[in-house]
Amino acid sequence: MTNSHISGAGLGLRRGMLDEMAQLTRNDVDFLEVAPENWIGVGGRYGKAFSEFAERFPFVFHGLSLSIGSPDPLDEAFVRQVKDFMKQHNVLLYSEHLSYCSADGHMYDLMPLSFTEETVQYVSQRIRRVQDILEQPIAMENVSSYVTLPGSMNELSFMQAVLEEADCRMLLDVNNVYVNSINHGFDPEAYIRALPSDRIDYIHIAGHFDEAPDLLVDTHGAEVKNEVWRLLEIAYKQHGVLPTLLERDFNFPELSELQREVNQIKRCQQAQESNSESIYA
Amino acid sequence: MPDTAIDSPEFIQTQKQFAQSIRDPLSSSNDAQFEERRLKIYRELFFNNVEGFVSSAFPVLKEILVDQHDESFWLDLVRQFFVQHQCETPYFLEISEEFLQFLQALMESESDSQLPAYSWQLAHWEWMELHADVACTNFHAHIDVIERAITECEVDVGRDRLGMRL
Repeated sequence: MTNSHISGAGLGLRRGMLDEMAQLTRNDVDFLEVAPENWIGVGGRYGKAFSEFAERFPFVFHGLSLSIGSPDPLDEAFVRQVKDFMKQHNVLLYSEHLSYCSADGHMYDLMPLSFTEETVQYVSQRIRRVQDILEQPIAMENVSSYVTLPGSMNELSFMQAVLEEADCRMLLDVNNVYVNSINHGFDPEAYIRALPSDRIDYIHIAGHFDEAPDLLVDTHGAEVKNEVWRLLEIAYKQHGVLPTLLERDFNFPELSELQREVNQIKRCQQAQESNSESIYA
Repeated sequence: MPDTAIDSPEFIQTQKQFAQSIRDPLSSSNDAQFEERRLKIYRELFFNNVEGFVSSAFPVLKEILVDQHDESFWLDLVRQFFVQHQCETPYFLEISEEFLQFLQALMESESDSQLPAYSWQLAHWEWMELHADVACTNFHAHIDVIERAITECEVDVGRDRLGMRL
């Protein structure tokens, strides 16, 4: 079962696009997503605008700074601030990255973990602590990476082990699966099929940049590629239709262009739903 | 490398070393033998990200330093911030505050600094401007104080006389 309060197709809410996005209705997008780090403590006209969006749309929080696998201590005060902010705006779902973004201080971007059994124990214990403080589960996202840190496990078995050990949820980023499959040489379909359906809360889809034939960079700055749309279909076939969010963080096109991709998500979802209906009819 | 690293598990040491090789490419070794072009992606993404936050928070300071020196003087300053300053805040808007702390410590420690004497006051003023836009509290009173301080700085009044800290 998924978190039932969101469904359909979502879009990230960006401070730079607030005015344009104000015209959106629930017919255009089913839910919105923000990084709480960009909005906690923000008042003035931005804070007011955010509250208005939060009243009109279901929201999910997608964190950036939790740094769950960091050598630095877990910032529990920060987790409590996220919890308060979720309560304030009635947000029910919090996702984060299975990675780290600090080591002797914050570095504000994501680094891949060293995949070992010890790391599984360390990260899972920290996830459980976060879930205890929040009094709810969190969803961990598979992140894109460009190097493999020394370690005895592969990415898939690491992800599976953490989901079990931490008893947490998952955010499946199909673009990251594709990017990593090229960067590290594995089968993206097999990766997606091997994930536990009952733990996936929602899906991310995004564009990437082709640095070289064997090196893709997860920029969130371009339109979604065909190979990634195909992986989304495979994910739906394997795990059922899940709420899916389009990520776009750079090179913003017109809102109508993003809407076109959101609509494509909706069409994928409808196609899969009618397929499964015809199977069971 | 801090002493604690000696006793910490191997994966912790691995991750610390990787982070350090992103922060400070010039003085870190590539022990794990990562492919250079892959390591370069991390180094550029991380540095450009932090530089972007600092530049957008302090456009006037950047402009003055680039004018007085050159672009690489500015980039070196941001690199020094990235390498030396341990950022505590998880909030992106507060990276500017971390940079202010770094700048203050830097100017106090370097008697022969090539930075103009008013750099910290100017940066503080730019920080207030930025935060007046997003803050929950009213910062306009603070801006008046800083504006006065900047005027005083032009006649070379020491920053310790301002009597205010973040």
